[in-house]
Amino acid sequence: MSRVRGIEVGLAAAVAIAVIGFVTGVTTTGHEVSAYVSVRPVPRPEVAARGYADMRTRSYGPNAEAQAQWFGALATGPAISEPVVQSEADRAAALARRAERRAYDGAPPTIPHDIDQLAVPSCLACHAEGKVIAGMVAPRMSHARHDSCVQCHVVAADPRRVAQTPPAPETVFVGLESVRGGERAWPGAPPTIPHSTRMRERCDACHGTLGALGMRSTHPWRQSCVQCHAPSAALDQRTTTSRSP
Amino acid sequence: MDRREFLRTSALAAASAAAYRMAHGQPAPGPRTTPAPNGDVRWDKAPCRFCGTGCHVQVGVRNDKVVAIAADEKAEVNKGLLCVKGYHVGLALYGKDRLTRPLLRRNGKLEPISWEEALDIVAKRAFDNPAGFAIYGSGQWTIPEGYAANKLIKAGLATNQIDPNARLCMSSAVTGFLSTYGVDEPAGCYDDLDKADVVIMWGNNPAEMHPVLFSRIVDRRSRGEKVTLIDLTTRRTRTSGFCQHTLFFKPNSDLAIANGIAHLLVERGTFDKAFVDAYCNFRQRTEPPTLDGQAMTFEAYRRALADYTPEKVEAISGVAAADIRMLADLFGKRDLRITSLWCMGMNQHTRGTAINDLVHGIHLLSGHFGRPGDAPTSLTGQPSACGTVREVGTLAHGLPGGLVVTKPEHRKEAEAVWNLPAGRINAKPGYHTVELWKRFSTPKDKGGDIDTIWVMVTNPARSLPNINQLFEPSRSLPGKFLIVSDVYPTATAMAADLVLPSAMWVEKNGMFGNSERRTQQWFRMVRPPGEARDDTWQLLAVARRLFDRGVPGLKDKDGQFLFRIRDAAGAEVPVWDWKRYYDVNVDEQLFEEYRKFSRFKHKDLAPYSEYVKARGLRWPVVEQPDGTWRETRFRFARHDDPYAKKADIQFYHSVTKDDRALIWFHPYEPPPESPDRDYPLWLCTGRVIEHWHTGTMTMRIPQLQRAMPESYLEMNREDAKALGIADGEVVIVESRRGKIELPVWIDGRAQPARGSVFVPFFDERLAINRVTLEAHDPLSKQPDYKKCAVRVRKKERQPR
Amino acid sequence: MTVSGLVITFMDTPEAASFALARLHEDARLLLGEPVANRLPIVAETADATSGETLVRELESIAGIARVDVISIDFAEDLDGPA
Repeated sequence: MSRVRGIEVGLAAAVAIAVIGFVTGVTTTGHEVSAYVSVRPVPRPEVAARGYADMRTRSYGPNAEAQAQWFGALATGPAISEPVVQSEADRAAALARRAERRAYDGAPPTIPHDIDQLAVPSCLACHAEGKVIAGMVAPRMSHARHDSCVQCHVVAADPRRVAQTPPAPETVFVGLESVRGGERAWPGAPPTIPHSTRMRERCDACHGTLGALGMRSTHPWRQSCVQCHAPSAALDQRTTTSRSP
Repeated sequence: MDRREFLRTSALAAASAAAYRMAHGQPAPGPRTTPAPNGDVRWDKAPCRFCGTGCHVQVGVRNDKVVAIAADEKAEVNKGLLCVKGYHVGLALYGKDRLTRPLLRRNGKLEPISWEEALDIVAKRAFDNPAGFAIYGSGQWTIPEGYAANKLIKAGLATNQIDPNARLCMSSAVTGFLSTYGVDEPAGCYDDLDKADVVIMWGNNPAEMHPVLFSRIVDRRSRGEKVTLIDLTTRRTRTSGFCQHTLFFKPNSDLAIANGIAHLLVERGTFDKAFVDAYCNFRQRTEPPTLDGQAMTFEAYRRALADYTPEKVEAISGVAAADIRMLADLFGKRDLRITSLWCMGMNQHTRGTAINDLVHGIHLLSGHFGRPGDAPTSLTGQPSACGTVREVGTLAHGLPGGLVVTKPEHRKEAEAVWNLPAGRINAKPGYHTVELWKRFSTPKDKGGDIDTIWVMVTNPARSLPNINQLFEPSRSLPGKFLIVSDVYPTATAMAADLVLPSAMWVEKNGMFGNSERRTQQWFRMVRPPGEARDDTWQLLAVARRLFDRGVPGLKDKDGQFLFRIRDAAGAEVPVWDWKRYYDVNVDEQLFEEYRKFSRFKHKDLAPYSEYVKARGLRWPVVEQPDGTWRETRFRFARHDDPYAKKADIQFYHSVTKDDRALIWFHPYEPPPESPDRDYPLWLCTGRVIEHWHTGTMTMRIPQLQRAMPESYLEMNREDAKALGIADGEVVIVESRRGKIELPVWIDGRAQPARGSVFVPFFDERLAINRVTLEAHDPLSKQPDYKKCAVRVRKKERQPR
Repeated sequence: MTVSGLVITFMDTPEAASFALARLHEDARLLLGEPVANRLPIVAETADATSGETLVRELESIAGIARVDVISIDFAEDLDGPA
């Protein structure tokens, strides 16, 4: 799990350089940079310097902060029977957070924490069933198991510990937004599923007890979601948009 | 009104009323009644724009813009899964700095001009000196684009001066297939990955480069299947972690490993004698080397291998003798299904043809061939390197359908399909990529006889090897004129004399051909920005100008325009006029003409309309008695290939004309440049999962650029310590040809062996190809980007 | 002779639709009406009801056509008979 990243002795100095680079803006190394125009830089977690004396006791590595509090803070989230109180504002906030981590509704979310870039991904340790660790929710993955997680999910910030990150590129892409809710045949009817269920077949990943407020099911104890909530044939590619077999 | 007329009128009235109800009021019955949220988004299929895997995506379009991408559930290649590039492929269209107007360099500055002026300039360059006019194309050209370019050069100008960037990525795979089977492209397909018990990756990192295929293998394990993965590599990569065996070898020593396996199979008698006796001949190289070589007996083959004992192979390669024996044990087990995968590791190799031959040879020798799961399979880097380059023959010596200009009977076939006067096609091949650019970067009076290159869909200013010598001199030589058709201001476009803004991917109709012989089709879904226009149109518009100027080559033997596009009534449509270009489906008509070539070498393609319906079809696609079209998964195998009729395995394009494939012997030899006292480290270059080639598209996609924002030098921790280099420090990497500065990343994405470094080439700003070597394979002419000697030193002043 | 009123629904992309439309134009058995959005009313004349069904299946298999709805069928089998 934990692996010493790059820096050992010169850690503090190197961090200082990185921070200076981050604050002062980036001087690029080469030429022909006109193509890339700066938008807001992506903040990355600061690396805390580690003294020799701390070596035995302080953890380090991709999820060091969370690890440090691992056992004390391990929790499962709200009880399944706990009443859910949520508002439209909660939903708007939840959707906004979702949008930050995706290029469009349906895109694989980026990873908001550091990862080991080389090893076989150990994502399932937390994301197989979902956990609350150190106040952060590691959501249950919404799809069946695939082992090469980093095939689709990439980190949201420069993966290098010590680096000056060039500015992000400018894009005019506007992604498909998440819909706010399904349709109801009459007030009180169960809403239809307003999004594709492809790679989102485990409803509780977002709508379960660890789901964001605003998107949480009021009845998480019910397991057979599609009994009442109809998926869309069109969104699930079950209608013929072309005449392919 | 007679009764029939009455019936017709009332039927039409009823149908029209129903159509109106369906369109405006009540929706059509059936599944479509489900109200679709985001129902204003229209979805259609397209193959992914990036690698040679050939995944299909569903493209979501709203208000003439791509807004979402979904993995195509109906696609056999990817079965509803994509990689991170695929999920973000739609964003490739929307970098803020798309090229939207033609630009001409005047007084050193690129200034907007009209399309009319721009095309006149291109046509004039070709008209004034056709012999010095070349097209440098791409494995990212669509099939109709490549076909139009090839016809323009081979039939129109009759100079053969056309070569693609695919020369740099898969031409050794081509020569390997040709020298072994007499015909290009893999016999197996991706279905092998579902059946293989053992998958051997020869210098290949599919976890990053062909992620969807890699998942297809490793996800079998999650389902409880047993698959043994073996990683033959020079650096620890993301693939290594998934493998039961990671065998590190010294650069270039893969030939010794292959010979070591063959040696044990022969000495232990564990090779498949029945298979070899029935389907194989033995071959050795000649001097100078040729694709045909010369015959050798089994005994001579055995003697040649005698040197390659496990211990000797260990000494050459660094792979333990026990592991060589383990590999030979696996190949010696006939009941196992073994698939070999390779990509640039074996192809970008000065012995590229030889190592391709040897890996095919091990499979043939051991009989691991032709059954599902038993296959030597080369993976392709680009989305249509197979479709557009290998099949359409956009190489300096190629003609469509696997034909070549050097064979009189092939020229005759092509002249017949193109309706050309006899003798129109030039028998002399044009220049291969390295030679072409060398001549473009050499003054005319010193033999630099190429003065115009029209670059399409590629970025040679970053992707050629040794760009300091092959590309940059041309930019200050008088009389050299560089034309670039592209979508972004790439390094090449910014260095050009004339820039033509192109439509990309779903902004145009297109067809690709992937690594497993699968031909794919898509329709235009959104309009290109500004004045950006299709590459095929650009080619046809230039061709028409040359026709109007009276260039005889632009006429067929009946005096008609070489690119005659007709409407349903048979009348010629002036598609060279952009306003009329989409009056008809030009792709369809070019493809239907090209399709006639596909019969010569049993690479049969189906009619265009079949590809519209399918998520690609693997050739040969053969018409059945009931009028349906059947694709072929396992070539040369009677159980699946309709052309293999005589025996269980029939190599019906055999070099030796006896339905047998060739098992070659090639000795191990040291590489042309190895580390020495002055340049003590190996340099290897390659890709990372986030980025596509020189990053001109993916570096404009925020999610991908943020995940991998800049190039780096990957170094072994011990080497770094010895040089006093810390992680993140900026260093200078330098070869005999050039140097660049870039930051070091230690224990990052991968770990190179001691004594070697790795630099990805996606970053246009940090151009590692200033450092690489242009030495190339003698047959395939493919340069070796995977090994040259460099030194790394700290930059004087820290930090940058 | 059977006369059927049909409604063709094209696929969503204009290129796919125009591809299919070109195919329909070439078919002598069809009389094309005025298109409404992506729907096209047509009249098909076939020898009998069975070949009418075959025709509908044929139309459905044309690339670019999403669906074919049968609106009306006249079973005037004897129209061209020995009168």
